[in-house]
Amino acid sequence: MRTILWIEWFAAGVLTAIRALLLAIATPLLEKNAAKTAAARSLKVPVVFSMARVIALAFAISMVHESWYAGIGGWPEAALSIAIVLTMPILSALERVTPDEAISLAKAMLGRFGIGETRRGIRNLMGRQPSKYDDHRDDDIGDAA
Amino acid sequence: MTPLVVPGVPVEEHRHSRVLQSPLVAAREGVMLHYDDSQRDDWAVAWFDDPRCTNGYTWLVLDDGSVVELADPALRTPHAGPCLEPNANSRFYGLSAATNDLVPATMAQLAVIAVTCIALFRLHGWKAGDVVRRIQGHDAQAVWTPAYTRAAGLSDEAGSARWWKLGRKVDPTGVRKDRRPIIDVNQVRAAVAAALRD
Repeated sequence: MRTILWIEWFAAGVLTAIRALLLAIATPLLEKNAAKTAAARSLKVPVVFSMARVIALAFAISMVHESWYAGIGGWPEAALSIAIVLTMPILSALERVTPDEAISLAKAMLGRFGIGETRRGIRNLMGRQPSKYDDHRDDDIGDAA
Repeated sequence: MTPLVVPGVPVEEHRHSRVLQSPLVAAREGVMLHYDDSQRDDWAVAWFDDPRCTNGYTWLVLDDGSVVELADPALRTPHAGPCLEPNANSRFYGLSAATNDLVPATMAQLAVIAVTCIALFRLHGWKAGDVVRRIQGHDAQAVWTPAYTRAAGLSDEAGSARWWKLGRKVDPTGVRKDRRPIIDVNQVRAAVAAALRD
């Protein structure tokens, strides 16, 4: 009997921990704007994810992957990394500014497109697919030979 | 100089002067298979007229199986780059299907690739038992070098783990999610070996 009680106590503890962990993982992705969650609540949907937060997370994952393997290759990539970090505070701030101010910010951002040096030579992270721009003239393998 | 004619290779068009070609620095030892990352045959062929082109094969096989000879087969072309086998541009003929990483080579392309390999085996007197050694995919040969990892933006510290290891290229097998190869090198080898034994 005592053993069963211990097992039940342990299982309850594990479930609580898992629930807390899932909540901690999901919380940053949940929609915080009450107006946007109101409709979902009326449909008895327990949680509502924020599309902006999910997109920011996806960009963050891809930039971490890129910088992990290839580093930050220039100002455009650095700017994108900084923008990802600042996404949520900026989005929160944008909810409180006037349309004119939001448009000015968008103009300033779009005006920076194409400016700055970036890494040369590859289309994507490591360019393993053949490309018409491949340069295979040099077939020397160097010191390994 | 009169270009080398390889009997049995069904060439429909010659465009020798437009692809970078230079004398061999090592004897021919085999054939390297590729695909060229093209969407359309006419665009694929036109690229080899572009002065920016720094890549080239001996033969390009179009969707319908017609063969464009891009370089004199007696000369080397820039198709391989650094490989396990030194001087791979010379040691291997470059044979490419005009396709990309999404579209598997057509039956006509595969058939003509096999026919071209058979012709080369007969020309050089290579044995049917050597198909595995002499018919190679670019992916089985292309290695990373310091120059390539630096060009990709990697520091030497990060890139050195890849140096002189395979993985620089994925053609001609490709990396389709359904694992279907763009060109099945083993299928080509089997067809060539069977034809040579007949």
